[in-house]
Amino acid sequence: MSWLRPIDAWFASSVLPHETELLRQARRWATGDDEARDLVHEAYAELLQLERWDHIGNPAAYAVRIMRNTALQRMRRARIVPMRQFAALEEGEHPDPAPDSFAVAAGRDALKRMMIAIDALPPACRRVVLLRKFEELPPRAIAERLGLSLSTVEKHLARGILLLSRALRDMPVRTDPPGPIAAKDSTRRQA
Amino acid sequence: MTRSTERQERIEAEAADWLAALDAGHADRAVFERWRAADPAHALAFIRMDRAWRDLDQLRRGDPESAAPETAPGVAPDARAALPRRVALKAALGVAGAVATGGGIFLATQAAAHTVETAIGERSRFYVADRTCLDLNTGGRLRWWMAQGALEVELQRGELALDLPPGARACTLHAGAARFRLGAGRFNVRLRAGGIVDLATIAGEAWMLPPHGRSQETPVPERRKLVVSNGAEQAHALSEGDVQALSAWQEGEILFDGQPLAVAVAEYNRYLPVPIELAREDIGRVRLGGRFLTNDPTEFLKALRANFGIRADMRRDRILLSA
Repeated sequence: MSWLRPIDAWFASSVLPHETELLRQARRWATGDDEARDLVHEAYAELLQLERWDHIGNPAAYAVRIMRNTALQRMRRARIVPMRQFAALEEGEHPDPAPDSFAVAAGRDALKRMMIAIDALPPACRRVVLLRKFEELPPRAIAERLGLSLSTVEKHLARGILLLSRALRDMPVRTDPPGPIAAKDSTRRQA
Repeated sequence: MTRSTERQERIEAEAADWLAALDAGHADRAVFERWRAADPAHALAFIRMDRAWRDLDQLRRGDPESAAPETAPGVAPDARAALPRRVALKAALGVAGAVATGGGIFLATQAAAHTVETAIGERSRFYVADRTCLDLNTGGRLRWWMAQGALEVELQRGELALDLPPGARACTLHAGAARFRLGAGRFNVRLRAGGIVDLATIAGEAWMLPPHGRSQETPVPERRKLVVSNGAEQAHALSEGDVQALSAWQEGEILFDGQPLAVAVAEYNRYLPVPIELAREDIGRVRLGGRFLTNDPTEFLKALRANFGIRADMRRDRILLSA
């Protein structure tokens, strides 16, 4: 049972897996991690509002183009731009982000990371998450077993998901992902 | 910068609340959809929470990805056994490596498959796994998921066109009781009444996979139409006319080439929320040809009138044809 719309499902499978590479690309065009993150999120926002999202052949490369255009606009408005950023923007080739190699490297660590993250949850959250996801008890049964109200169970579950989502995103990857594949012609076009 | 991080954190907390409420069956769907549509940042946050939720599915004892022998050959049976206590979970960290090498941990599993449905007259075309294009025809339903970096699709109802670009990994297609491996190329698959499966290899090759326990794959060369019924299969050559007829729906059209009206109407009705009905059976025997719009039978009805004197009576719930 999926609560995602088709555009969300597409985004989750075709764009989000490239996040690390997109952030890396964004850091070359922004000052600091926060600005890089903003750049990536602006691209995400644009993608999630596209009407013809299903006509995009290479979503990750498209995201890179959006970020490049946004960064270019920002630099034109700013009075002083670090040379490094400007040079990075001028570069002819923007390699296609390649998720596969990264996902393979990440996959090996993922289960371990998840277990560590679950271990780090506050005890009440952890109990509820495990009962729900491991024992597969419905929320009502969890409430009965733990002597809690249903809304408390929901709160613990929500908090657990929130903390896990953050933990699984922010933890550093052990191995450095290999370089991305060579650019195709689409990324050589001018913005 | 701090303010935008705060805002993002607040939105993510909201998304997590929504997910828990939806899971508990507590959520007002309409209010949720309004919240999600209000801001792409909301949609993004929910996608992230949903992903964490699906990743947690790996913990399930009955997780299909780890249970199916052909998708996780490296898994030791003990790793899949019950791990209900914290102590056992910690011990499980030792075998986590073995489970993880089954692959596809970070990617959605069959348990977290995406379902896509089309209403009568609707069509859904979208890209998955980077560049593979799926096009689901009227009144259809499919599920798709990634297993170890490769795409798997299950057609549950209707008709589907697949376009796998060169270099794409082979895709596994389930339709009815049949299973296929598709190489790069263009394919059209249709699930008919009685579980009959039609697979057309418009470009590229496919292989029909044998039932579990057997090893013989059946190659389906390019430009063939395979009809699978009750375990037996029949292959026919695919002519250029056949290809035109098979692909017409992807351009919003339906093509007839000498079929009797009864057959043509049955095909057309797949696309029409208000179906066409024949007042008398014998009207259906005339044969016709032509190209018409799937979403508008007006020209089709006009042609019937002009060529065969068949009149169309537009009723509230059907279009009644009479001579």
